[in-house]
Amino acid sequence: MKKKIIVEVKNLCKTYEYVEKKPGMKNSLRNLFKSEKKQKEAVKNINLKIEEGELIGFLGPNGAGKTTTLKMLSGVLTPTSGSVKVLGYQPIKREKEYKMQFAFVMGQKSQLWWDLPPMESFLLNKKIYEVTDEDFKRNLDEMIKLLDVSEIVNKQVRQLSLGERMKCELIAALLHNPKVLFLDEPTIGLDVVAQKNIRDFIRKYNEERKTTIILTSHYMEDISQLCKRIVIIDLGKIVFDGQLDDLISKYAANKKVTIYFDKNIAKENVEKFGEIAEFDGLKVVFEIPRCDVKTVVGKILATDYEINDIEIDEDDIESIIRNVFKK
Amino acid sequence: MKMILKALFEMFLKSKKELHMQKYIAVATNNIKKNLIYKANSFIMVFSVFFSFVVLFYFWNSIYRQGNQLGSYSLSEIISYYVFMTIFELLVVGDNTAWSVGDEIKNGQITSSLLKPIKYLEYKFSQSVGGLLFRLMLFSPAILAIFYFLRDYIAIPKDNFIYFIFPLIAVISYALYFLVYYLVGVLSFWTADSYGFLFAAFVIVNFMQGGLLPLDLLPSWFAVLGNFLPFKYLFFVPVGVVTGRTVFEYTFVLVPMLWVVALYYFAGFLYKKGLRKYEGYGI
Repeated sequence: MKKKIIVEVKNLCKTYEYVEKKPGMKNSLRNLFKSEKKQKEAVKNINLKIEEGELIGFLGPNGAGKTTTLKMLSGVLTPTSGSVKVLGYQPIKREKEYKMQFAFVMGQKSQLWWDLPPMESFLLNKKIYEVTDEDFKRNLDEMIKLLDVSEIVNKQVRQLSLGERMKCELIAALLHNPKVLFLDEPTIGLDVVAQKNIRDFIRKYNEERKTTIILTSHYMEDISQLCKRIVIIDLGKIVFDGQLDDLISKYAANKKVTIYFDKNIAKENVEKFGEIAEFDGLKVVFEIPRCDVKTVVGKILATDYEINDIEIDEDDIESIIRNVFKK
Repeated sequence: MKMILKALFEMFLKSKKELHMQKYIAVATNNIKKNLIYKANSFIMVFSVFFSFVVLFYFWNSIYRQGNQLGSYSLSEIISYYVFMTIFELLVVGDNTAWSVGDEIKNGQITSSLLKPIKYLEYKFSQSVGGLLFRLMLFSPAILAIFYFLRDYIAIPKDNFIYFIFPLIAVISYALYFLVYYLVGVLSFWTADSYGFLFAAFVIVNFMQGGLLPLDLLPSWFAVLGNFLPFKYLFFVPVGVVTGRTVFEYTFVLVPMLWVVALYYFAGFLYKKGLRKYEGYGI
């Protein structure tokens, strides 16, 4: 069965205008009378289709255009050119019907009332999003359990830790059971345990509710653990869009083959098998092109060196991504 | 059948409306709760407002006792004016719409209001009303106490009609007050130094509404200027009516109402323009 297209983006561009301010008193005075307007293309010609229930990750360095794209998808920013359709709506019209069906969680901004316990913000959102009592109770109980926050929902938001607050942000955003969820750096600044909690929750939520989730992050871990499909954005352009596996096979040309020997062995003996990355007599690490791994390993096994163990590893994803950006 | 359908349709409309209202009521109550957390703030405010009132009270008393007079104001009239100013400061001037709108624009918090199925102006108005209700709850005993202790000074309207019309005037004035400061806040889209601007706006508006001196003591050209502006309807005109110094005219209701409508649409227009500009630079 063909799945519904939830997000459709065509030739999307966004150009920001900014005023350049050179340092120094002279230039400051000059700026009073004449300011030089400059333009920055934050997003250049992006095309994207996202299906229902997908959990897709936008990955890229700071200033790559990830957040700008999300903001155009949610109707905060007007595109300079190109078209955006989400759930059949044009986001920038900011129609109520559309707003009732999505949620946007920003790691850097809070929608909770700072001086009140999160529960008050939940109740307010219940009213704002016109959630029925039963739905509210069911959703809230479920999420409180999943995120393990029953202790803190009645504590003032300003007294919560960043991780606790983030969990509450998620709950506040999801009470109306949105069809599309935009997550902008949801794990930014969190410790490893909190990151994992949030990640587990997002994965589970996506599996159970089939909510379409678009996530941005510059933490590789977030993306590789959560998303099947990733979109890598750099300097406003999509440089890769596809499955994580494709990314690995396309950009990770080599595999790491580590061989442990029982007895010390001379470097000359193993040099002929391939490029050596590491060598210490008992252990040798080869960087071998993916397609050659089988034959090379076969050749090594066929020799009469006493081999204790063999490990074959992928390059770690961080270095793969570095490869992508280098190109 | 047609009748039933019509009734159902009307019920549907009504329930929609109620849901809509409920949102804003919830915003207002949340703001009351927030204020309750910072009640100490409010007590400090009461103290400072009362302090300045007591000073003014003795100041005018001693001036009048020496046989001097301020324009055509009798002692009772001038004391009444400042009593109402104190009440106005306690209940209305504590409203921080301009600051909070300005703040939300500067720190980008306004983005999260854009994402919600809620109107920004109405959202802010609900917050403002929440604050007003909170101060009304907290300060009513103090206000009643003032009226009791100064019962010999305060001019009380003899015409019963005033008791009927004043609440209406007060409500319109409040809406107008909110809109003026909402607009000042929205101007933060264009001002780089928003605090300086907000402060200046506050001082000017306060003067123009009669927050320092009764406006009829000022030169006549000022009155002419004031007629083209909404500010005197924020405080000076309503107080004139309730103290019986000014005879009620229907324009006291009509003109501020027109101002409310005009500023409401102007605010919507300015907000849209502001957002456009804001986006250009990135939020």
